[in-house]
Amino acid sequence: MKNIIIITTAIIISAMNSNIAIAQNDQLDQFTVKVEGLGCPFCAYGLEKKFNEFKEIDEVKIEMETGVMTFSYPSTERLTMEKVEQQVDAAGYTAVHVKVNRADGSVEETSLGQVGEVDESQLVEESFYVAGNCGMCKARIEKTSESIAGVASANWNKKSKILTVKFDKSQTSKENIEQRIAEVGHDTKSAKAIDATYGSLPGCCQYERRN
Amino acid sequence: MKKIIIWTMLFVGLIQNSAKSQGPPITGDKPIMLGSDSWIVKTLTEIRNTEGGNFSAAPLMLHYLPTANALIGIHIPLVNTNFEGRERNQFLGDVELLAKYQFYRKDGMGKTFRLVVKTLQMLPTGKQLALEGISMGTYQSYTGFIAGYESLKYGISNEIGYSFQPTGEMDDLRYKLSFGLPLMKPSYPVKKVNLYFEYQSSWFVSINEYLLLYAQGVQYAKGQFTIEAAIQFPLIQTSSQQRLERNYSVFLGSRYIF
Repeated sequence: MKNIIIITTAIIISAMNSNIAIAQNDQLDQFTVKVEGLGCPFCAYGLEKKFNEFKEIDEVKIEMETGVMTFSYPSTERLTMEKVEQQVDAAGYTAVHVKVNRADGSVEETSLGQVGEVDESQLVEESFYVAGNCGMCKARIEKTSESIAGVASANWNKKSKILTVKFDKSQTSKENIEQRIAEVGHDTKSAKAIDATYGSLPGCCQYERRN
Repeated sequence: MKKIIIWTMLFVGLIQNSAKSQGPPITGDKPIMLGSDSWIVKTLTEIRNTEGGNFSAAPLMLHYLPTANALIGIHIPLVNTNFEGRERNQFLGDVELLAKYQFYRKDGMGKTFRLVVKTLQMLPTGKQLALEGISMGTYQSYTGFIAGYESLKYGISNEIGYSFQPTGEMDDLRYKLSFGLPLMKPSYPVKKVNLYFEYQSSWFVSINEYLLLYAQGVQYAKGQFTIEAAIQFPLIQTSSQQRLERNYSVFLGSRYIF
């Protein structure tokens, strides 16, 4: 009888733990980053060390031969692809592709350096409002836009706050571009940055937010 | 004829090694840096046997990378001298201050090419023994450029620079060429064994003396630790001070990165 109670208790605890694990896993964003410049295993060490600055990073793996780094990060922190690229750069290497499988099921992907691979016949031009202040904002907004597959060019006017973007409509959309810009901290009319991302912008970039 | 044979051997060695090399050199320098806010503590003891006695320099080297493309460092050497027929001596050698800045980077998949400018300021804290690389006891200022290509299969590091001394007597134009050969498949976490083939040429401009050294080394790295050993010997040396003519040097080193 005693044994039955112990085994039953163990099974219940084990089942509870596995449920907790599944729930925790559900709340993790899965990142896949393709990195160039990893010429030796010490380079991979430098890269991982830099990413360990993200305190809650977990399950970091680096494949030397493919240059692919994978890791998970709590979805509540909403780690942006731009921050991932910046961290790779701070480690002294180059990110060429970042993919995020968000815990909510959405997938974000960037493929840098794809300008020029657009279908000219599908090109459209759109202009829309993007909040920002300074030259750093301009660089961030344009770089983020141009990192989206299908975007041919992006130009943000600091005075008018208008972003003019040319993109291949078969590959992306105005809404997608606005969403991606919001993810790096800049509000547009239809996409708002989350407070944490806005708060992490440098002081000079923290524009006055509209309600 | 002797020179022709030496140069032919060198050339053949370079061709063979350049086809399969990888990793940071032992006696040379490398252009790859390990990310901002990193530290490296290392030692590289040189035990030199010359016609006039045995000498050693055991530096404690501390490097810090404030950014991904800049490095500053300090080298504090402990020197031992044992001139033939004289008492053994131990003292602080020439303290060195190092700064490196990487100004060009071209990355590819599993490979990278980088250019670095480097300066090394040697303070006259040692004794005036004219033992280049061990104890000069005079101020020296070195400026050089490092160009390096490193991949999972190939790794070549070149360094060219000029060392200036206020008196001008020991000014020298240096060139270093380093190759490595990985003996294990590259993997992460770090676990590797590499062989190294390194050449160092010094032309002492004012006194018109020339020195060409060849070093063969092996390195074992696991995790953040590395241990390395090399033996270096002269291929060509024209020296007016026969007692300081080199026979060979043994290098023993270790590194820890964090």
